[in-house]
Amino acid sequence: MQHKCTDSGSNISISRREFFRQVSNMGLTMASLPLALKVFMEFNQQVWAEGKGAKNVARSIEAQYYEKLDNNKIKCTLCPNFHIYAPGERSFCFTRVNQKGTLMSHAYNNPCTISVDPIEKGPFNHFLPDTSSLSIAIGGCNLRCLYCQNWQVSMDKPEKTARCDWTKDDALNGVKEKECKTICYTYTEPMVYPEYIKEVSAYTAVKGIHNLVCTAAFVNPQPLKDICRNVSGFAVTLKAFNDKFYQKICGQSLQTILQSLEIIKAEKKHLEIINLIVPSYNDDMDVIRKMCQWIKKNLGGDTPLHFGRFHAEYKLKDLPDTPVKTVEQARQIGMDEGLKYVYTFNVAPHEGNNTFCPACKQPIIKRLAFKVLENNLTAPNAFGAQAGLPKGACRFCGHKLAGVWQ
Amino acid sequence: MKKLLALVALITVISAPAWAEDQDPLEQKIAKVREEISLTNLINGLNLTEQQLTDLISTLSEVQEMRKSYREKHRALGEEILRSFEDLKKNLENGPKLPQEVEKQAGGYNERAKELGEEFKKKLAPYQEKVESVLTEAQKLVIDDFKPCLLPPKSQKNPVRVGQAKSNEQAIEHLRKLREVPQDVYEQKRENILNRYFSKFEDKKGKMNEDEKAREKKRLFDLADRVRSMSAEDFELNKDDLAEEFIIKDRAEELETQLKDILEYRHKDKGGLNKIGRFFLKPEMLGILETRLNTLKNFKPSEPANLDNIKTAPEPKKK
Repeated sequence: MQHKCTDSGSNISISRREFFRQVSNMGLTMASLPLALKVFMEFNQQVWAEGKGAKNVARSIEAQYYEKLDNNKIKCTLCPNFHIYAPGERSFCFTRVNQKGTLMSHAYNNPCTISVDPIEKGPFNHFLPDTSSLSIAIGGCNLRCLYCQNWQVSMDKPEKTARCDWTKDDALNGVKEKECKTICYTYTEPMVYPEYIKEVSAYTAVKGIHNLVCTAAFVNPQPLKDICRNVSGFAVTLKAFNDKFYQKICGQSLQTILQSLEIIKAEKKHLEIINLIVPSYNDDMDVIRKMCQWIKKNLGGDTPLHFGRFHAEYKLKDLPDTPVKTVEQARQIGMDEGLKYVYTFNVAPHEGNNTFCPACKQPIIKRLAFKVLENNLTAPNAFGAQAGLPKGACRFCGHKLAGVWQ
Repeated sequence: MKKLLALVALITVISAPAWAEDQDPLEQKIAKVREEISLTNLINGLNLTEQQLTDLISTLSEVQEMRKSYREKHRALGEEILRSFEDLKKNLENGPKLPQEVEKQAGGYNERAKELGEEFKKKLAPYQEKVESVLTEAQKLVIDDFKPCLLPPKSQKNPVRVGQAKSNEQAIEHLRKLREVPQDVYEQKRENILNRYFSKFEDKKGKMNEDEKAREKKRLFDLADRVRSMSAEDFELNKDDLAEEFIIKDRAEELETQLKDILEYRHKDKGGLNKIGRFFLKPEMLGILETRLNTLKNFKPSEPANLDNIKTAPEPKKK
């Protein structure tokens, strides 16, 4: 028996057997598509995993902080999400991929940003003021802040955002060439590439370079402690003192961040805190007061705190910029609660850009945003030493200010 | 003849306000609002405190009073000047030779108008000092960098940018694009690419003369070749410096600034105003500061949002 199909007026005749053969072929092809896609993706990952950049430099490395599970699955232990990934799956933070049961970090030697910034941009107002810092960022983040200011790079894979190859040697040479005193891991979330930070910081710290990390600190204690080993200071964004805010706006929890802050303090690392005030979401002055009280009690009144002004970004485009007055009110609360160094961030020119001596209230470092206009700290071997004052002391009254000054 | 030329120049200078009156009132209104917008942009970028605003308003109110009394004096003189000039014009219509009396009278009025202007300027000088004493050093730096503008800059990367102060972001983007052009295309279209850049610059700033163009072209061609030959790492590390080099410097603007500085210094003793005085002692400034103070005084904190019901924008497109 012959089946007749009419196709645009032409007659095509096929046998019943041929018809069934073709249908079953088609079915097989369709059914095997997902498998083929998976094989292709794994092959692609493999190529990337072994892939090298233009300078023939490895752009991936076996990740640290994970556990192997059955069926080539792995459990990531870098952050409190403890996500489990099947082979071929990419991590929530974009940087890690389960490569046949081995977790590979693809955030390695491949920054999306390298730039020379004033250290005050960190913000670090109590760490070698008026010096340049070599900023490095690699794509990826383990938070999902709706107002992310660097979402173009933080919400993407490192290999997609990478601009160049940048090894520990490049970092050291870059620091020397640009006469920087520090390397600052910033812009995105450095905690999602601990392998790279640990390698670069170990290599450069012994050569006298300070390493600094600007982070949201959503990380487990062990990786944080390991990072602390060769890192001199942290600028931690405490996004709100409200767990609901963390869950709804950032997709994570507050408790981890507080724990990280305490670890950094216990590790005796330099610490500055940033609180970006988002109008109507985290500008409740009572909550801000509680946050300041917590900081004073647990981290000390010497901890510099920066209140930042929000500019509409990413998915919170409809909000207005934070009124300067709100930032000023928060700053006043911080000072009222006994914090000695409270700053305004993203608001300049402003009195809150300056460092004041907690003893004599004189402006010690005058700034215009990130630019130092006047420095009245005693410089080593200059006026201060001659006058018998300690390093990093107020030139007017001799009070020693908290921070790293040389 | 020299005297005649001086008189013609004098008429041009003094009669300027007269023809200004002939301007379309709508245009005048637009110019005034434009001025107010520009000053508002400046004030937005200074973050003045309530105390500073109160002090400035008090100073500028005094200036306003003084300006009023001078305006009255000037108006009285203006009527006399007008009569004298009409007389001068009538005489000039009959030929260049002028009766001595007419010439003397017009010259005399010129002197008096000049004296009155200088007297006013001298009286303004202490107010400028008062304004300066209210502002912080950082605010003064922002004013020094400020260029009048209609729309404030959109980039928030640099919190100090007010007015049309320069930024490197665009130049870095241009350089990145330049690096991405394939070599064969670049070899073919090198000139076209840079010519486009030149014409954009000329559209914005005005035509460059041939010498300027040749000099700038050579500089940019060298820079473009250098930027393209750099490794990605070197480019990233040096992009800010390269962007500085890439931006075409506006010679006219540079000369204008230099000239302003020279004149400012030269006229310092004659009550010449610096940038702070020029912006803050404008008649429009008082109203702007009063509005700002009211806004601050009536500040209301935002209503707390319901965190269970957050409205989010869709994922933006990446560039």
